[in-house]
Amino acid sequence: MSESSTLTPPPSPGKTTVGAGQSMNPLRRLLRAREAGIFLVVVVIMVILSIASPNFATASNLAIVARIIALNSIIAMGMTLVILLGGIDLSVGSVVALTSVVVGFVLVKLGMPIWVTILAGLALGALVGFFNGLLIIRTGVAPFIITLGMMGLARGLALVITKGSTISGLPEAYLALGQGYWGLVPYPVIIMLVLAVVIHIMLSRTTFGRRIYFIGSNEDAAILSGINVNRIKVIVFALCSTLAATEAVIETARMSTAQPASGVGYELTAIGAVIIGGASMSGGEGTILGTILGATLLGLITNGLILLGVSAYWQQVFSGAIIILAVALDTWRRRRSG
Amino acid sequence: MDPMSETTPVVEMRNIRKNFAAVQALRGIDLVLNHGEVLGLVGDNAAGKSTLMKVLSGAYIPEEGEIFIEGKKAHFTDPMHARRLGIEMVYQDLALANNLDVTSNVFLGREAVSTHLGSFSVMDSRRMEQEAQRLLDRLKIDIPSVRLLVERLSGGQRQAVAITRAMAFNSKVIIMDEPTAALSVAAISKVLELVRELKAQGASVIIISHRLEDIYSVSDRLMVMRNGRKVRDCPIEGDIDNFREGVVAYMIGARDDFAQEAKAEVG
Repeated sequence: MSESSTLTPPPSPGKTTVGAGQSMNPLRRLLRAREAGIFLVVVVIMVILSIASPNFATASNLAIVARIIALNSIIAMGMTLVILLGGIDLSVGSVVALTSVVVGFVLVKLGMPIWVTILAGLALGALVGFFNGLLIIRTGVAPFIITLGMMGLARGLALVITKGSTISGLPEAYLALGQGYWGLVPYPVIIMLVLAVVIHIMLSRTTFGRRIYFIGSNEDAAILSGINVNRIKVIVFALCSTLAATEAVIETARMSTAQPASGVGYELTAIGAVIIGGASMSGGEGTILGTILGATLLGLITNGLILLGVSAYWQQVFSGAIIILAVALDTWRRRRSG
Repeated sequence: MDPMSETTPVVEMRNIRKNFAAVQALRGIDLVLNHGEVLGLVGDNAAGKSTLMKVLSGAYIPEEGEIFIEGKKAHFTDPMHARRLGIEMVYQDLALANNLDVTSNVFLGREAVSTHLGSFSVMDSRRMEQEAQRLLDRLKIDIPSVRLLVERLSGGQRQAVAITRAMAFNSKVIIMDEPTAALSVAAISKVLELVRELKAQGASVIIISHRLEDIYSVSDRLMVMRNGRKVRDCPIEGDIDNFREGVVAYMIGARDDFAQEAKAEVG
């Protein structure tokens, strides 16, 4: 027996401690989950902000924060799907800008009904994502490069359509989408929660979701087991852009104007939320709940800095540093666990 | 040789040729696998073993040659197609998704569904868990829970999951590419037991291995490949030292009388 043994022999049946702790009890699993840690950090930050600033725990401020978090979460959920596949989408911010001006154009310049406008905006998002996906599978070029190109392309188109100016004069009924409330809860929060439930179910309960994890975990194996990997990739990139377009539809209503300059830097916030939420940049690992917690964490920190009177320039520095820290911690944790 | 075998082989490959650019990986290979038989496939690196098995499992399409499954001619276009005909491959690098649990890995790509909605069909997790547990029991595999993540398992257990996956859909033929590479001694004997168990349950197995003692201990027949050709095809008999010496001679090309024998037969 000359074979070197690099792995330990299998443990004796039924007696392994790993098995006992890892499985079954759903409550235990919940507490052990990565999400629990982020949730704790979120609570701590909220407590600190409540003490540090009298303006934090007010109904109006909480509504503002919740709306920002909801909008960031919608984009980050799409980013989660792409990152689960082992990809990345840098074009989401530009898709927001392009969708925003198209929404303004269709609604104000063409005078179309609201529902047509919304459909046009979402269809545009789907189309951009479809092209992203198609280019990635056809050329074999890394998603990073393709979506970087799309980032410039979509932003450029947005500027071309409006000649660089903004479109205002959106009807009141449309503005409600971004500014309205259901009781105390802003509409964007409700839309985000509905989307979160749907996407969570899709990821955890459907064959499509399972295959996204599979591809992210071991793409070669997915191809060998006969899964249509390319088709799933195209659908996922289309979904990601459609979610970015959804955010744009709501954000345009919130801002009351369509702006070709909107959405700058959104890809960074979205990627940050996903990674802080426990996803792996190499794919196959991450959840919607984690992403929403990640977006919440970033949203609270931004809000806190504003309330504490830190200059807007510094806020970006902080956000960037937190994201780098999160990725570094994640990489370190993974290396340690082998 | 095997009293279990029926007259029609479960797999018959005739004159398979496969080129990669200027490299002739397979130069007209024949292969026969009988019902309930374990065939050991050996050869030095780049002899074409894995390529031949990828042709049989539908991952590669050969330039020339015919494949018959239970006597019927088959044209594989992709791995899904070969799977539907009952041919499963357990890959050398395992082809498992490490951060999914045992159940998910057993059913990867073929999830049990409770509500059919095309791509977005809802999975029947309960049924899959029960079925996965039943399969592990049937193959006498010791894994504490089907909800364990595969990355938490030992090498031997991971190999067992990969084999369970191949066995999950009543496969006729299971191809194993180096199932014992990188395993501890204890894990190797478990995997070999598993191969015997598969055979006992009526499956036919092709096993590729560099470990001749493994081939010797589980196989009924041996096929040696060299430079994309078959150089030996014989039942396994005699003691292990003679076996090893003989096989190595064919593997490295010190002996090469298969073609002459075949010619003599024809003549």
